[in-house]
Amino acid sequence: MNEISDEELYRRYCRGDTQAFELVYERYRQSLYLFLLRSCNTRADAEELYQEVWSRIITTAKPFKQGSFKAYIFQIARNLKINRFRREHLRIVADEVDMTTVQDPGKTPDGLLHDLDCSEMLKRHLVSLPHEQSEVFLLKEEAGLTLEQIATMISVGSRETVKSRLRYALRQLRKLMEECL
Amino acid sequence: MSDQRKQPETPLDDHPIQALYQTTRQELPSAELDRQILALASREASRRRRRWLFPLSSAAVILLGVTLTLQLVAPPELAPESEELLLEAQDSNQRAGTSEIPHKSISMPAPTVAKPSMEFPQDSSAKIRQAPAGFARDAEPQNRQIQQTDRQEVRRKELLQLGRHKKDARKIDSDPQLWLEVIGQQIESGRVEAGQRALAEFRKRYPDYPLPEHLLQYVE
Repeated sequence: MNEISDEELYRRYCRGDTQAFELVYERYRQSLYLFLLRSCNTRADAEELYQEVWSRIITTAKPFKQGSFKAYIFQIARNLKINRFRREHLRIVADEVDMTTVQDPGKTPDGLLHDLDCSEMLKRHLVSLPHEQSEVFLLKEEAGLTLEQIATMISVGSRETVKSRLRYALRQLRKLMEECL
Repeated sequence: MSDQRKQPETPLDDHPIQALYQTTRQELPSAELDRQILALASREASRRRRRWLFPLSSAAVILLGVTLTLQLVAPPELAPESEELLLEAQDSNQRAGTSEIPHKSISMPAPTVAKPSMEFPQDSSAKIRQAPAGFARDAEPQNRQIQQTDRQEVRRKELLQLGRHKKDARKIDSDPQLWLEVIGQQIESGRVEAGQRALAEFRKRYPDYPLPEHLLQYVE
C-alpha cells in the first residue's frame, strides 16, 4: 500500500476507501501543516486553514486525470491562505518581529532574536521575508515541488522567476543567519 | 538590486539555510485536529459509498421489471402437448386481423430434409462390397427404405417442433400444406380430437383446398 501513488490513493478515496485517505493524509500531514504554520501569523490561523484545506479536499473529492496530488493540495492551501489574508487584511508578519527591521540585509538580527536558538531564528526570519520569497522557499522546502510546478502554481509563468525569488530568499536568510552558519 | 547581481550566484540545493531549515521541521498538527479531519473523511466516504446504492438498486429493479415483462409478453416455449394453444394462437391471429397475411406472399423457408443420421457402419458396407452381386442388389432397396423411414421421422420431428412455438402459428396459418401436415401429424400421434378441431378450422379458412384422402375421414 505504501508504494501506491498519491493520485491512486486519492482516486480510491473518491470511491469511498477511507484507508486510502488515511495513508495520503499521513503523507502530507506534516508538510502541509508546516507550510501553513510558516506562512501564517499565528498557530490558530494555521490550524484553521489546515482544517479548511483538508475539508475542501474531502468534500470536493474528484479524481483528476493529470497533475500531481501534491501540487493540487498545496494549490488549495495557497488559494485559501491568500483569500483569508485578503479578507482579513492580514499582513504576513511575525507577531513580535518588525518586518522592516529584519528585511534590511545590512542589519543584524535585533536583540530579541539573540536569545533564540538558530531554528527559532530561522522560523522568524522566514516569516519576515517578502511574501513572494518566503512562499517560493516554503513551496520548495515543505511541499517539495519543482520550480516548474511552483511557477505554474503562483502563475509567474517562468521557471527563472521562481529561481531568482528562491535565490533572493536564500541570500537574505543567509545574511540574517550568519552567526548560526 | 545591482549589488545582489554582482554577488556570486547562490546555489539552490545543498544550501546551509536549507539544511538548517530541515532542523526546524518538528511541529505536527494536534491529535484532536487529526481526529476531526479523519472523522470528516470517514463520514464523507460512507456518504459517497451510499450514493451508489440508490442508482444501483434502481437499475437492478428496472432490469428485473423489464425482464419479467418480456417474459410475460412473449413466453419462449409452449409445452409439446399444447397443440390446442397453437390453435388458439391461430384464432387470435384471425381475430386481430392477421388473416390477410396468408394472402400476401410470405416467403417460407423450404422444409429442410435432414440428412439421415443413420449410417451403416464401416465394416458392414465392406461386407456388402465383398458380398455376391445378388446380395448387393437385395441390400440396395433395403437401404433406400431405411433412408426413407429416416427422412419421414425427421420430417415428423420438424413438424412437431414447429407446433411448439406460438410464433410458428402464423407460418402454419399462411401455408395450407404445412398446416395439413401438422394436422396429419397430430392425428397420427393419437391426438385425434385436437386434429379434428384443427381440421374443422382449416376447412373454414380454406374451404376449397383439397384434403388428402387420409384426412377426409376426420372431417366432421
